[in-house]
Amino acid sequence: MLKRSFLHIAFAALGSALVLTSCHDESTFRGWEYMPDMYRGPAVETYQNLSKDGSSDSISAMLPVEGTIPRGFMTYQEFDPGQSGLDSARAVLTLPANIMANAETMEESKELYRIFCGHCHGDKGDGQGVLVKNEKFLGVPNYADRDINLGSIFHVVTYGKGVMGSHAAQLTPEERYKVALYVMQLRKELTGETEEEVVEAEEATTEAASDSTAVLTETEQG
Amino acid sequence: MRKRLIDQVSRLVLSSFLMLFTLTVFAEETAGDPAKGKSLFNSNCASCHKLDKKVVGPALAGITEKRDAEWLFSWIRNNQELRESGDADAIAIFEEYNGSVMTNFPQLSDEDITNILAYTDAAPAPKVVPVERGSGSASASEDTSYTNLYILGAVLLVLVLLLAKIKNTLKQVKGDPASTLIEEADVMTRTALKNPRIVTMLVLLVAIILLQQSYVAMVAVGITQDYQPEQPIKFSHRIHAGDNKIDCNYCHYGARKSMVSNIPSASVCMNCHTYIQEGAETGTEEINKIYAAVGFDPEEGKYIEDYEEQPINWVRIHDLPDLSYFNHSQHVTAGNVKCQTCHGPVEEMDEVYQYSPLTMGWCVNCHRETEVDVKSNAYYSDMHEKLKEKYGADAKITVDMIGGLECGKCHY
Repeated sequence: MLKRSFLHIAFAALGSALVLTSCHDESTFRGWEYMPDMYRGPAVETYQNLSKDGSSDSISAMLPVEGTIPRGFMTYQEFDPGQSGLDSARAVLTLPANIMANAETMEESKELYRIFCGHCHGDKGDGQGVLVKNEKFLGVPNYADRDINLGSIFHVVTYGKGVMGSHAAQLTPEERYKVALYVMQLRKELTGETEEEVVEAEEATTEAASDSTAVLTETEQG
Repeated sequence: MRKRLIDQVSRLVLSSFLMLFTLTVFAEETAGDPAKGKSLFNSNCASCHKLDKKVVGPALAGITEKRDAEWLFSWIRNNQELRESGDADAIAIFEEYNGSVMTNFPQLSDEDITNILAYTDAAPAPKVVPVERGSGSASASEDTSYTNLYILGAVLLVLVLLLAKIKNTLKQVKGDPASTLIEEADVMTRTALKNPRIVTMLVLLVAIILLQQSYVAMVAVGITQDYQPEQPIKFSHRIHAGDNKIDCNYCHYGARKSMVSNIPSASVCMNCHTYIQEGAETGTEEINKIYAAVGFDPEEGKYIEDYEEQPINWVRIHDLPDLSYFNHSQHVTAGNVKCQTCHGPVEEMDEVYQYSPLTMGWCVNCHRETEVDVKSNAYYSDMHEKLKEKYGADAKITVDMIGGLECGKCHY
C-alpha cells in the first residue's frame, strides 16, 4: 500500500515532466502559425514553391520570357564571347556618354570593384586578393602586366575569360563600365603613369555628358 | 713536418668539399628549383593550367616527357609566333583547345622557365587531410554537455543511495529498525501533503510553471527565430564570407538594388567553382552537387551539351508574412544598414539560421534607434531643414522622425 501510492505520485511527476519538456525547440522546425491565410496571401511571392510535392521548380523562380528587358536597362553592343569578340570590343568600345568619369562615379566604381573583383584581383589590382593569398584561386594577373583597355575589360566582365566567369548577371552594363573605369585607374596607379590623362578624359566626358544627364536620370528612375 | 702534413690534408679535404658543394649547387641550378617554380607557376600559369586536370589549357604534370625543352621554351615565350612559323604541334594544340589563345610570357627568363618545368616534373605534394570542423564539432560539443549531465545525475544517485545506506547502518547501530529509501520517501511525502501550506505552495508553483510555459509557447507562434533547416548543399557561409572574405553582395547581388535579396543562381557558384573543384572540408562531394545541377564535367572542364539542368532546392529561411512589406535595397543602399545588423554573424555560421525574430516590435525598435545619415544625402536636404526646425539643430534624426513608423510604410 505504502509503496504503491508513492509509485503513483512518481509516475505522475514523471509524466507531467515529459509533457512539459516534449515541446522543446527543434531548429529544423519552422514553428507554429496562427491564421496562415494572413501569412500566405494569394499573390505569388519570390521563391514561393507552388508545386504540391515540392519537387518541381517554383513558378516564381522561372526565367522571364525571352527578350525581356528589365526597367532602366542600358542596352549594350554584343560581341562574340571568344577571342575575336574580345579584340573587336577592345578596338570599338568607349565610355558611353551617360557615364561621367567624375569623383562620384569613381567612388561608386570603387565600391563595385571591392564587392565584385577585390577578393581575387586584390584591392590594388595586383592580383593578390584574399582568395589568392589563401591559395584557393591561383594565377590572377597583375593588371599592370596585361594589355587591357576599357573595351576589353567590359568584354571580360561580360563574358568571362579563362577561368574567370561571366559577371553579366551580377553587374548591369552601366556598372560594368564603371568597374572598367576603376580597373583602368588601378592599372595607371600600378604602372605609375601620371593621372593627367584621366583628368583630361574626365573633362571631355563631363562636357559631352552634360546634356545626356537627363537621359541617365530617366533610365535610373525607370 | 707532421703539422704541415696535417695542414695539407685538411686543406685538400676542405677544397674537395667545397668543390663538391659547388657542383651540387650547380647541378641543382641546371635541373631547376621546384620551389621557385611553384610560386612562378601559381602566379603565371595556374589561372589556366593545373598539374593533374584540364582547366582552360592542358594538365601540365610531366609535360617535359611529351615535348622537348626547346619547343616548350619557344611556346611559353611567344606561342603565336610559334604557330605562325608553321609548327604542326603548336597548331594542333591551338585547335584542340578551340582556339583559346595562351598569354605570351616574354618576361620569363631561361631560369624561370626551367624552374617552372622542374615544378611540373616534381611529384605533386601529398594532400593535407582536412581537419573536421564546423557543424560536426558543434554537435559533438552538444553531445558532451549532455553526457556531462548524465554523469552528474548518476553521481548524485549514487550519493543518495550511499547516504541512505549510511543512515540505515547508523540506525542498526542504535538498534532501530531499518527502512528502505522508498518507505522513507513515502512517509515524507505523506507528512508534506498533510501540511496545507506546502500543498498551496506546490499548487502555486505548478500553476506558475504551466502559465509561463504556455505564455512562451503562444508568443512563439508565427516567430521563426533560430529556424535552421537542412539545405540541399552543405554550403558554409563561414568558409565563403568568413575565411575568404567574399562580400555578401557578390552572391546576393540583388540586395543592393531590389526588394528581395536573391538566392544566388548556380552560375554565381560556377564563377569560382569551375576552378575550385575541391572543398576544404567536404572534398568534392558538395561541389559535385552544383556540377550535377548545371551539367559541368570537372574532368574535362567543360559544360555538358544538351544537359537538362536541375534546380537546387534551397530552403528559404527568412520569410516575412504577406501582410508586411520589406525592401532590401531601401535598407542596404539608401539606409547603409549592414547585412549583419539583421542577419547576425552569418560569416561565422556554417549553416545559416534566422538570427533576428523579425517581429514588428523588433522592426519598430530599430527604426526608433537608428540615426539617419542626412548630411551626406542630397535626397534629405530639404527635409533636413524642416526637421531641424521641428526638433532643434542638434537633434538626432532617427528613422521614425522621417515616417519610419507610419503603418502604411509596411502594411498596405
